[in-house]
Amino acid sequence: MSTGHFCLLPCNDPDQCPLNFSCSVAGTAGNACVPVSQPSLSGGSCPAPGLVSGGLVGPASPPAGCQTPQVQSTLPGTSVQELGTFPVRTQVPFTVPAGTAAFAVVSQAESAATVLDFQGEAVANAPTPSPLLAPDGGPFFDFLRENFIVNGTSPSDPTEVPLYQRIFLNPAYAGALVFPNTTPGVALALDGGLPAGTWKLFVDDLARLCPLVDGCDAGTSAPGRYRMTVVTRAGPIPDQGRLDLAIYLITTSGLTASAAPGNAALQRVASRLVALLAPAGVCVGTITFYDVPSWVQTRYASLDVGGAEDPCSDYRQLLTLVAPGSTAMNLYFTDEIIDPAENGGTTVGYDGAIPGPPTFPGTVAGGAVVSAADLETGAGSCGNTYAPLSCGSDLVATIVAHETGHFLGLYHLTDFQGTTFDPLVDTPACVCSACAAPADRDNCADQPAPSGPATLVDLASCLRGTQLCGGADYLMFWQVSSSSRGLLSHDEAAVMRANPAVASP
Amino acid sequence: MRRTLLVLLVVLPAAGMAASEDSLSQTVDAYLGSIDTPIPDARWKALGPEAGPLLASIATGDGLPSRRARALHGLSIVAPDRAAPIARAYARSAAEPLVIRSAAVRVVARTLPASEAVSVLRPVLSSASAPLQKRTAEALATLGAPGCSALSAHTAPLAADARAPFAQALARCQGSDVR
Repeated sequence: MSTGHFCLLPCNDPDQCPLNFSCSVAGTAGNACVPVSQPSLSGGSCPAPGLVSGGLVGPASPPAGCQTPQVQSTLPGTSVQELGTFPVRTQVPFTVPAGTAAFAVVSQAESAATVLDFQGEAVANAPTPSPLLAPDGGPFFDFLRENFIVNGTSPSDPTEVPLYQRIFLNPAYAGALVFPNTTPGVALALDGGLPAGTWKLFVDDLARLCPLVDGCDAGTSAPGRYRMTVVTRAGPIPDQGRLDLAIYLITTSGLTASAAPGNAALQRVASRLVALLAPAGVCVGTITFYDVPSWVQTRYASLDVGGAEDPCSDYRQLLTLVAPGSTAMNLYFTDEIIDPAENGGTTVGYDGAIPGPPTFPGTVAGGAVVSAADLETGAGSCGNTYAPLSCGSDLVATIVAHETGHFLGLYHLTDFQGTTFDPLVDTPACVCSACAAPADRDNCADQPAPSGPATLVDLASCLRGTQLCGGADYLMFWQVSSSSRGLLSHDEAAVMRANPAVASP
Repeated sequence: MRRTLLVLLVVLPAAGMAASEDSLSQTVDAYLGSIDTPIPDARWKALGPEAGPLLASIATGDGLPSRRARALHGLSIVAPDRAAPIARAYARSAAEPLVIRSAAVRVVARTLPASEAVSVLRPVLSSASAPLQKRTAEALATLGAPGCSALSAHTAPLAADARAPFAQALARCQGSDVR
């Protein structure tokens, strides 16, 4: 299981293991019967995406003050329920029609605290509608129960993969709960969908929960008020869906929207994207390139993603720049992305939220930023094979696909320390204490007394072809390497295709 | 038997070193290959100065610019003396892409004495690239009084529009931050 909790049978010989298990190293326990890697997706066929220019987008001069727009879903009204604006702790009913396979609950703040102090760290006051009650009154999702020890009550069993899992990767002011995102959730969505009837949600955010948690200080802001919207998607989950992309050329490289469709490097990005996403049944429809005003380039081409928990930070404000009427996933191509967590170092991708608010373009949580620094470099390496370490276009395509995966609800299979895992059972995990080199296992982050930086799990640890020590060749692995193949699992594909942002063909 | 032991004594350290170099190279590759997971300073620092030659060769090589910029950043942590001359050259080189020049101006501010860093960075304020102007101004602002003086001197004659890239750094110099 990708939750990282295993019961493994010791072995000395492959014959001692059941079918589809191999006798393999399993950390300090020695050899054990370990599930072999489940087959990833391959093949898939999608038409070539259309590449077009969308012209210039954005105001001629910087807007005055911080923008925190509340936006409407781009889906047709039959799929959208505008529930109204409510203070936290309001119970709000909504309808799930029969045959619904997926839904998203989107919270957009009218007013709310932005940043909390959690044990000395700034944390975004993410909207957290919870609990979510099914028509029979049973909890479908309970954020508090799953994540905290409150009044002596332990969180739910960590070995149990829930129907829905929320991870702390959302900003203040806008956020989405998008179902399904776990293996049991995918199974429910595929098996006739969700219980039809009247569901209930409780409007909530972390600031309201903060006083219940040790070491959390929410300050003195008034309780938040949120506009709540539910979008539903009728089942079944289609075998193939379409995702349009909007690419905003924030870069100062000289690339323009009118030249972009004919640019060889971008054409390679487009074809590589198709190759990466088509096996999952996600077809890239139209890619529209947009120019932006010069003030946008001056302000954001070298983007510092510091303070991303604050809706008024540069990064969050960039995400509010969208083409009117666009229904596409928004991607912002910059020259560099500076991450203060690296003390002046750079990163190559950054997602607004995981998942992003689907079909709500222009919130402070929407879209993703992609470094286009490598786009036109290494053309000589851009042959017939996938070469993300030397062919710049292939690297950019990989970043786009990876961040799109986040936007559509996918997490890293394994965090870089090999201690937390995505909530999908068919993706390989890479458990540090089992997969790292023997000399490094005592220093895994989940061991009693790691010294210095904890051991990381990388290519060498996570490419052993088992469900216990695999994943380095997957798209949603944390690292691009010489062994990256951009693989996706069946469950990952289902999560992406079920997302309301992916249109039915 | 004696001959075997002698051979082992000669071979074992070399084999150990090769393994260590492999491990170092593998870790550097992992750090440079991170998509959206930040690599904190402590991790770079833990690589030790022995990572210097490898990072320097990547930073000055012909690889992808984002990897070169990250290598330069890492180099400034594990071997600042080695990073400084590379950063000094790249900060001023119009032939280098923005991601590398921008990394270089930050490394210059971090690795050179303030007065020397100011003399390297001051001309970069006049670069044709507004984002580079902005990052250079911010690097100067981290140097305190000498950097802020240079920044003020550069911006004083500019029209209001032309000051936009410098606004955040100027605010920092004046003790307040603006967005």
